Amino acid sequence: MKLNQFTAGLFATLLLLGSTTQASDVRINGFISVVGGTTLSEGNNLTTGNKSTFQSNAPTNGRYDDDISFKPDTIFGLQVSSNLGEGLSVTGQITGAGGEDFDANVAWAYLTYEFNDAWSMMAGRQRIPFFMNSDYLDVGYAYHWMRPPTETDVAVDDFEGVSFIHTGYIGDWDSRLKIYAGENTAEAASLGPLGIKDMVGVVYNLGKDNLQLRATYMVTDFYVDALAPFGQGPETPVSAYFFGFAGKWNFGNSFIMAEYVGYGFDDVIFSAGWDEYTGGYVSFGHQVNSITPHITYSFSELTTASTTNGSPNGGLDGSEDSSSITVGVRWDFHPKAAFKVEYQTRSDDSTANIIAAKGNLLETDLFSVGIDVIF
Amino acid sequence: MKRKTIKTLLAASLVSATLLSSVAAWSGVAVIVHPSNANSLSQADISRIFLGKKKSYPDGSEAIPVDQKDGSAVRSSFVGTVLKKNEQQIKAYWAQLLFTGKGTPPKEVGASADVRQLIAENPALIGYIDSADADATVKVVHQF
Repeated sequence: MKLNQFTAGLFATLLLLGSTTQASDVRINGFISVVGGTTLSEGNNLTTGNKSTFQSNAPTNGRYDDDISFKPDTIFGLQVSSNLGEGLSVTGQITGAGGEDFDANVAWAYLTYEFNDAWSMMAGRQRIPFFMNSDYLDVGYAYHWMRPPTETDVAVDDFEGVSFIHTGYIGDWDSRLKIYAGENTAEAASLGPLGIKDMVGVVYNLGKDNLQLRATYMVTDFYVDALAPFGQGPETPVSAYFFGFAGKWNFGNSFIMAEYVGYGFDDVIFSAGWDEYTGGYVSFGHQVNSITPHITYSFSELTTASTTNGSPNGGLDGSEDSSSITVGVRWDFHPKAAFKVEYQTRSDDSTANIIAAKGNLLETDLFSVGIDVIF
Repeated sequence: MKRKTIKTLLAASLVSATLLSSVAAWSGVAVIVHPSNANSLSQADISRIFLGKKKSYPDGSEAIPVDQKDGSAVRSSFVGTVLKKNEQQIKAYWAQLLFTGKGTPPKEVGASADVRQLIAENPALIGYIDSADADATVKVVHQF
């Protein structure tokens, strides 16, 4: 959602609140990540006549090629929040991402109401909690990588709707349940406009000291908003599901995190032939003072089909697969900033007919350097 | 009689001076609340309050944690022992919560003396200070 009159008004109201109420009631926070990177060789020749590139961010379609670029992962965000007392607070967050030429985007704009110590509600624009790292995907400072594994990344990242959250305890464990519902539209690089509606999902987190476990399930209607026969359109969506399991364990100065997710459609998606996807990663890091070297294995498998209900859909019967090894170092050189260097080597494991038809689309080596700051 | 009293006083003050100095030398960390706060708090309760997972004391009254200034030795010790995280982990933790509407980090209010003074004035607050700085204006609920 681009900045429009409604959201501009919301921010004006927040700022006005800031000037009319106690200064301590309004918080302004922000983050910025400046990242430069390049693929280590020229892209592979594709059958379209183009060279392959590395898509580092699906929602913004930020892409690297063999020229050094600072755009794909560079992002800034400004958050204004105000606690209005008696359980009510409002928050707005505007981001500008290099992948979208730094156009201001309202990433979050919601009100929170706490019914009591256990139950709260968030209403407005918020992040779809697909992955363990989804909520803070834009905030590079919050994780060890330059970016969470691209094998677990989807084009739609926000929704307009409502979430109900229950927090409680089971013995020594912290329990957090989130139930959410809403809709959104987005622009995907390969498919153009697409949308989700009648989305309902649930996320459950269980945590104890340094162990975090997470499970999620969501169902939604999904459509590609292009002219038939290249898309379903909003009036004839297909049902889709999403599931995920994740865990993170800190032990001493080391950590392991892992995630496994999948999604699928009850009808193959037109023009892309998407059918079922699974992906995941395992990541290990060890902190020595302010330096954290880390290594990650990640993979994704997307099966595609050539027909939908017996009619050709533009896709191929096969599987678009990739796997990556990523090694990097995070250096917390400042209390509010981290410096990162990262290398990722990705191989294209797709079936031969897909490589023959499209070219070696996914094979890339990427090197990137960046600084994340929060304020 | 009088002499005995003086002797007793002297002995008592010697003992307390020794105790005090040993406390100062040990220099642990004390978690403190307002003297009127009657809640008994486990280390898990304290951890949950400081990690933003719990916003009230066991009796239901509001709990507001206050942090010491970034980089203080008392803070590092508290974060490591009670919150079981290191400085970088706690910063990443708050970055994850802050920008996703899940919580805001406790306010930073300087050093032990500043924390003690604020807590002496506000029954909702909870903080941690150098044990040697604890006095009758606050109540110690946990020490390590």
